[in-house]
Amino acid sequence: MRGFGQLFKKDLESISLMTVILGIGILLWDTYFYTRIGEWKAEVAIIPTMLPFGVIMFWLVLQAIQVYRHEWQTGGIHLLLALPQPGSKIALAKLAAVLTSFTLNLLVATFGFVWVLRAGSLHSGGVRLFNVAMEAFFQSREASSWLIKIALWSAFAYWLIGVGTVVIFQLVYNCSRLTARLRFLVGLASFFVIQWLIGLCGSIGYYVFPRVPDLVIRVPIDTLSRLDSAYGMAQAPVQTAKILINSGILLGNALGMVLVFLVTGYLLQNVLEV
Amino acid sequence: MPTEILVRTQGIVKRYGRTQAINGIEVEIPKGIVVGLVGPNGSGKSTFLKLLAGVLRPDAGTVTINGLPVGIKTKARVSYQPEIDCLYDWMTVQQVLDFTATLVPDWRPKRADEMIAFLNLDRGVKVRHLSKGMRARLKLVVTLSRDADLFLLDEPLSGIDPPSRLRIIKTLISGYEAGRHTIILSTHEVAETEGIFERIIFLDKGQIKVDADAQELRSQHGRSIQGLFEEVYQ
Repeated sequence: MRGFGQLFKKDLESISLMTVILGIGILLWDTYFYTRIGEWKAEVAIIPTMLPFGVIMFWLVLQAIQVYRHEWQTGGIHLLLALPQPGSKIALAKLAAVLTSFTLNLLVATFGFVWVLRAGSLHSGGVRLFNVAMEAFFQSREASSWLIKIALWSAFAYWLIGVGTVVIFQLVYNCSRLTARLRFLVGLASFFVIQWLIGLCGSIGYYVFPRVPDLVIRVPIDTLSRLDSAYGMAQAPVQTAKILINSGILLGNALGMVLVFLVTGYLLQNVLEV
Repeated sequence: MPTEILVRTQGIVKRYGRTQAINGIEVEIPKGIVVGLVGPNGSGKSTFLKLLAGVLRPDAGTVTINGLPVGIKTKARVSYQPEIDCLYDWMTVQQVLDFTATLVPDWRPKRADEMIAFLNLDRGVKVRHLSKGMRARLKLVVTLSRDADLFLLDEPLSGIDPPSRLRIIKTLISGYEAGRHTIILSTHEVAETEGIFERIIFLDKGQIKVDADAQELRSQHGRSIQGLFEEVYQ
């Protein structure tokens, strides 16, 4: 992967300002609500700190597009398409750059959320999640392992959705560059076609991979109230229900994403023009 | 010994919407010569070079370089300098060199160092702080520091002040190895560069108007290429 580092560095630089702006924005947002705790009800202060997780996803779409748009804006596309490099390497560097920015902002948002949540829990308002989590951690191994597992899986699932979003929107943008006119409409149409294709891959995966074991997600039933110390926390087992997710569909979707990424690389190498 | 053909185009056509930029150009360019691609604005010079560089694709016809269709393999042997500003402006001069050096297989660091010194470029300065003339010099360093078979230079003198032009032409001549390197240089400012051309291709409306040996053309018509250029495009 000679030269990958240089491509990655260049792409990261092209979205660095956007990354910094969002990171600072999230911290300012969280700081504001942190200062409101005690003055406002803790729930009122904490709930808005969830908002950055939504904004990050929206920002991710912008960055996925910007990292390519930047090439046409600066004229760098002349240099890039003339290089003797496979399109998949160029696409991978851009994907890695956007995901790096996404991961950094996700960490900032998580830090901010925990910071405000922790402060909220110190007050006697209705929010006790942080206290509950801490108590669970110290008093019930089963409860703490469930809390940690569910938090980590949620974060990983969120991150994977981010990866898929970047892959899709990078192809959408490249498709829009195939025409000189009506680029927005071409991009929009390609977005729906790509979604349909990924869905189709999921359907095919359902039939092709019937023997792959299903994913089991344990959903809590009445867990928070049972974990609450007021209900006898130390003895509380975690009550969960099982949800089964067909792995064949997920595998099909994942392969569809790989296909979308390869098509982006192919377009860069063989079809796109300056 | 038969002349080895480096570039061969057969009936290439390129359209931008309803505008036909290249209209059925057929040309064979042998290895190791300097070709002047001249013509007025909009004659198809840049489009022709972009097709050879692989940053545009023909709507019809074929382009081969060293017998290969344009692709990654040919890009490894072709060094292309576009007319527009294509360098990332947040990079320093040194970062531009490092960036290119790792992404091409034929980078010559010694040649880059020589040109940086000759063209008075400061390695620590960011591209955005360079003047137009200095950016043109840097683009030339990036292009000519490669040991490519084919160098494609699109209007390297366009909008450059006279001292910079002179240095750019001197740099071109100093790095050129006759018989090994092929240079195709597009320009509509013929007077300053005609001395280095061995072959001249006049383009007009996407077609070849004149394609001849530069020396023969001068002797046949008894005037400079610049004089002929003015006559052809009157």
